[in-house]
Amino acid sequence: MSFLHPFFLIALGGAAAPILIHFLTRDRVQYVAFSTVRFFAKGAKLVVQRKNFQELILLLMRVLLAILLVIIFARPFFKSKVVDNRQSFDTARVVVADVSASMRRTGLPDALKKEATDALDSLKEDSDAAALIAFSDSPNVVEPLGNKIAQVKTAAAALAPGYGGTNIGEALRKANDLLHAVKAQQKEIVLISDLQREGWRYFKGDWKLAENVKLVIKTLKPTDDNGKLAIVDADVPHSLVLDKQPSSIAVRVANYSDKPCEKLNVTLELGGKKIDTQQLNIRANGTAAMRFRHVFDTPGDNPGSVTIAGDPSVPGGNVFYFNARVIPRIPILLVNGKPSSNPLVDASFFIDKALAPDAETPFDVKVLTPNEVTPQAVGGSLVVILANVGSLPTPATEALSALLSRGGGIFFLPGDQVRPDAFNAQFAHVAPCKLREVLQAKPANGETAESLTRIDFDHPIFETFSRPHHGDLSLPKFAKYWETTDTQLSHVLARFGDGRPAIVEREIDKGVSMILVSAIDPKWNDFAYQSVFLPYLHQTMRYLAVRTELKTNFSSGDLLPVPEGNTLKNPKGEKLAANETSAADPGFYPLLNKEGKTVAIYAVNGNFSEANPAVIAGDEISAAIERAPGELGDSFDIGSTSGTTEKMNDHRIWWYLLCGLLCLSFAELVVGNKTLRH
Amino acid sequence: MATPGALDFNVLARIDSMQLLAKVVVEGFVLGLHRSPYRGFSVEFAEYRQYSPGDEVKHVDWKVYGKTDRYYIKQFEEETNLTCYLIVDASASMGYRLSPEGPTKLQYASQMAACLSYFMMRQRDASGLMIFDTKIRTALPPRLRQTHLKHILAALETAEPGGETNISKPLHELAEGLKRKGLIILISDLLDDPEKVISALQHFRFQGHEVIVFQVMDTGELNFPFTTMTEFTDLETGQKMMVSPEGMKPIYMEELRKFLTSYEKGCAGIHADYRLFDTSTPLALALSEYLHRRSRMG
Repeated sequence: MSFLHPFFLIALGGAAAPILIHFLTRDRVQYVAFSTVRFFAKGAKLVVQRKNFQELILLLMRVLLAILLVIIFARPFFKSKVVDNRQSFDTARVVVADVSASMRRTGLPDALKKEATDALDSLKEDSDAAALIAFSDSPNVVEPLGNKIAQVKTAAAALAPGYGGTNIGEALRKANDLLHAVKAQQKEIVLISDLQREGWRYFKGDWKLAENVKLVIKTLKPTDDNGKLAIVDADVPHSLVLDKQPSSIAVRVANYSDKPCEKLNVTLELGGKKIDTQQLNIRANGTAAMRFRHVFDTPGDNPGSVTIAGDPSVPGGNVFYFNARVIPRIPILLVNGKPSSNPLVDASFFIDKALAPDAETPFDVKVLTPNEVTPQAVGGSLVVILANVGSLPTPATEALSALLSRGGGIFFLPGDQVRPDAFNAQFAHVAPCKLREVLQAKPANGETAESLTRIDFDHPIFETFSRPHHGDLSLPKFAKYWETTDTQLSHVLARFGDGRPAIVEREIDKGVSMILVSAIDPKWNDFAYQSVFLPYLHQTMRYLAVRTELKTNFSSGDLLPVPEGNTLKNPKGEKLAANETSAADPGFYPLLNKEGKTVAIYAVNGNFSEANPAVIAGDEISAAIERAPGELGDSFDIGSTSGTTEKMNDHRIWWYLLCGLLCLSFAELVVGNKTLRH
Repeated sequence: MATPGALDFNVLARIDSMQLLAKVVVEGFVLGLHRSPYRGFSVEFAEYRQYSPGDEVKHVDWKVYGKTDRYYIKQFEEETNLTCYLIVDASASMGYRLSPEGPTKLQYASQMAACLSYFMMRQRDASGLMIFDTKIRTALPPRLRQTHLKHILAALETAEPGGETNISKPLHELAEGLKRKGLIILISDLLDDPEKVISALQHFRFQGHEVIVFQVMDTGELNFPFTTMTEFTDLETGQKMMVSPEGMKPIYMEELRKFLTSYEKGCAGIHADYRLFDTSTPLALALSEYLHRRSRMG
């Protein structure tokens, strides 16, 4: 064991202090002639022995405390002698090759292979060791460190860039770890990359190369001037509900050249057909967005792409693939808790009318009374609306849980049919909150009822209303509403003027449960009479329903989900093995069922950041991770040649001692309190 | 209102003479009582009083009539029919006192015995004295004479603690020697085997004696006020024992409680009166205890 501040050990003499104090303050015995000692006979000896023992223990603890304190101040650490059984080489070299999408630019793939093989040429099979790491978003050890140089060369010659991003820091760290595992006179990392600046931004500066590891950087540049345009961002609808409303497909295009780009053709294709082409002007070193509006009127998959006409900065950077899945109609089960022939009293009248105003509604609404609700009815719906429902049959309640677990939605609209105890007992596991009591609005400032305030306009339901003249959600007035409890785990989307939650949602399993704490009833509020009611209800239903939809848009490198029994094809039409469903090339990956019918199409895109041609200087990387002589850091290396080496373990011993000190102090306190003073 | 006899020991300690001390205590005590009723016609002349109709003619003193020409009736002090034995423990343990200013247990017991003797003499009761440790050191048989009181007080005054306690043996010896039924007052710290002591007291009871036990303990023994590490030396056996008072006190107090309880129960079992006296307790309490028992005996 060694010490960081050994001079503190001088204070070890202080350990004698408790002994000194003990002897100076020990009991002075008084001598008393007493009438009889018959009453002491039973315990006197034991008591004195116990006292002496306790005092001894206490003394030892105090001495130990003093010693521990001194040792802790001296900051100990273990410098253990370890026998180094690692394989020994003259030179150990790890070639770190960048195979990100940016390396697909002209001339770079060949240069990568050449530099990689050249870096291995000088190594000898017998005495040297080599390894090959290919990296994009994450490092991949193609060949582990060993003396089979020829094998590593072969692997280097087969290097080919993919479509992934760049993370230089992680790759270098992996190489450093590989070198740590061997002994060598000389340790080197050869980094071969275009040194894209984007690939270095993940480095946090929290580690450094081992002291005897040398970093050699081979910077590659494209042989000719590639294009300077690329799609760098996109926003497309992933899941849609079939209706007549157009949806927007937006892309952002970057111009990395010093000249402005004018009249750049941007084309939208759907199902292989050109839908629209628009022109875009982009200033030098700037970006510009292009938006298409399209009505997706075909249920199911709608694979499409947006293509820019100019030369891309990286191969494939001019196309963006997407798949907008369209849900034919959202099956909604509307449970009417208060059926009545009077529309003003009926709990479902306004909701039903708002969801299905005409035949072209995207919602397929089925209205049932609570007693008619069956598990099958719930199971056949994506969203269940409980309008003023006090209770449901038990099987139906269980079916609501199942609905949430498969990603469906529940929408509660409690009214006067609801009893809080029964509601809380039956719907506790599927409701976003509990109900306490009905409150009468106590408005102020001349208002007659409470309004919705503090609305979360970032939420998908309210996004539509966030812009001016897109509906005023403060118009509905609420005269009665339920007070909620247990909303801690839920998200309050809107509140009443008094601060109480008005609309609350909670993610349960894969689904969402939402509540508007006032029934759609003219006696409770005038929401149904307001123009915002219909869009609010539609947005809510869409939000609650689309969670059930399959994700179909991915990035290169993502693992594509393949349900059992289905098969996946790559963009070239080749079937992928079940264990190789990682997205490699950009494009469309059809998912086929047992009958060979396409059940879904996955759209895969490359990494947008790879289009950015900005580079970082090699010296900048070296300065960031190379260790100055004698500099300590996270990475420690074992000495290069000696058979036995010294290793400075970590400082965990210090923490253990500190914990020991605390425990001992506590024990001293306890024993001290229990020890007989006289 | 304080008991007349409740004089502070600091005051009593200044009184050298045991007789005077007994007188002070007893007179103070008596001031609070009605006059003793034990007066009548007996062999010893007490005083004259004028004849009143109804008096027996045979009690008229004719000689006085001849000299004074008036009728006087001779009155006699009634001779007591109570014999009391005061048994005082003078073992070494009785020499203990916590505070040097306070009395030792033996001093307290002696003063108590002196007061009782004095009081008994006033009450026309015959009192005897036995002082013992392992054996009987002093034995004065019960007498009613004034001179006998002086002997008792002298014996008490000169009593010194010494020897181990062996209460039962002298008690049995005394019980064997007593012919006339009477009142036995044992004044001791009773630091002996309770079973043996109770057995000895029962011996008295079998013989028809009334028994009063005054157990005298010092404040130091009852409260165990020691706080520092102490080596105790047994006054009787000389045994030394190192004690940590803080840890020992609960054990000591429990043992003491059992010890005292065993005497209390034992005495109750043989119908003997038992009273524990701290050496700071006023002596008059001992007198009132005696009176209580005396009145029961008629």
